[in-house]
Amino acid sequence: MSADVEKIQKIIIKDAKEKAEGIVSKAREKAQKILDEAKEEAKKEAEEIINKKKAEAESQARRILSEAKLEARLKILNAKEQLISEVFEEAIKRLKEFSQSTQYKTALENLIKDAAMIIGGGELEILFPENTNVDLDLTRISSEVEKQTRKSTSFTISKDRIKSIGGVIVRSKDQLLTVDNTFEARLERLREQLRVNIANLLFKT
Amino acid sequence: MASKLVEMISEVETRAKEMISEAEKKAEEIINEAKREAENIKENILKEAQVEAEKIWKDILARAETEAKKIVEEAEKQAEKLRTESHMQFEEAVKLIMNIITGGVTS
Repeated sequence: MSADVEKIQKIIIKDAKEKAEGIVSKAREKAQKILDEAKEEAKKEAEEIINKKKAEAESQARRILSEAKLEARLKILNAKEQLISEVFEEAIKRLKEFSQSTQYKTALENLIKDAAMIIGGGELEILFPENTNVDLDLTRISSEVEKQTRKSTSFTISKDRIKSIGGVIVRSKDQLLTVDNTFEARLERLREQLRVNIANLLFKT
Repeated sequence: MASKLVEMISEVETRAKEMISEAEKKAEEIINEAKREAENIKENILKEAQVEAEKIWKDILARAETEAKKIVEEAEKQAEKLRTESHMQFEEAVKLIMNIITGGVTS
């Protein structure tokens, strides 16, 4: 009888032991799974963090490069602009000197003729800059204008003087038509075209 | 006699229950420990990722800044070169303006 009881006791303990081992073993498996999942999840999250940061950095890098390229372009453009401005400044300086030269007379005659042709001849008035002291052959000019416009042309010299470094203003007697052929006005009118020509000269590659 | 037997078996059953209860307790501890460890692992992996991300960020930006500096320096050199190389054409350009403005009198 006692042997039977002992047998039962052993069976109960054995079952309990097996069950306990099973519980612990399952817990260990679950624990491993928790760790594995945590690692996997963390790795994914880490990858996302790195990728996001990398994308942000690349975007900022593109911005930095784009700004640098713009700055570079501006530096070159400014250098070109500076050179073009210097050319204009030098030209103005020399035009002032030119108005004291012997060639100035010819220039004035050409500018008067050009203005008169634009107006289309007729009774015209010429305005000179202050301190202009040139002896012009206005009869010859009017005759040339007449030939081209087929309109009787005459010039009178206005007592009014203009502020200019050189050139003339020609206007019709009735003052309805005026052509400003002062150096400054011509420079202003032709500036854009001149800029292109100068740029081509200076920066041709 | 029978009651003695019942008592003996009951004692063993109690012990068996205790064994199982201990095992359950241990299992709970194992899982809790695993959860704590998982948190630590996660924290460490993320911390490392942050460090790596920061390094990548710095590397990329440092490279971009170096390249940007190079681009600007190159432009400065090019601007200087423009000035030097256009020296000969400068005179020609001034003469061009003079010629056009004076109506072709200067050459």
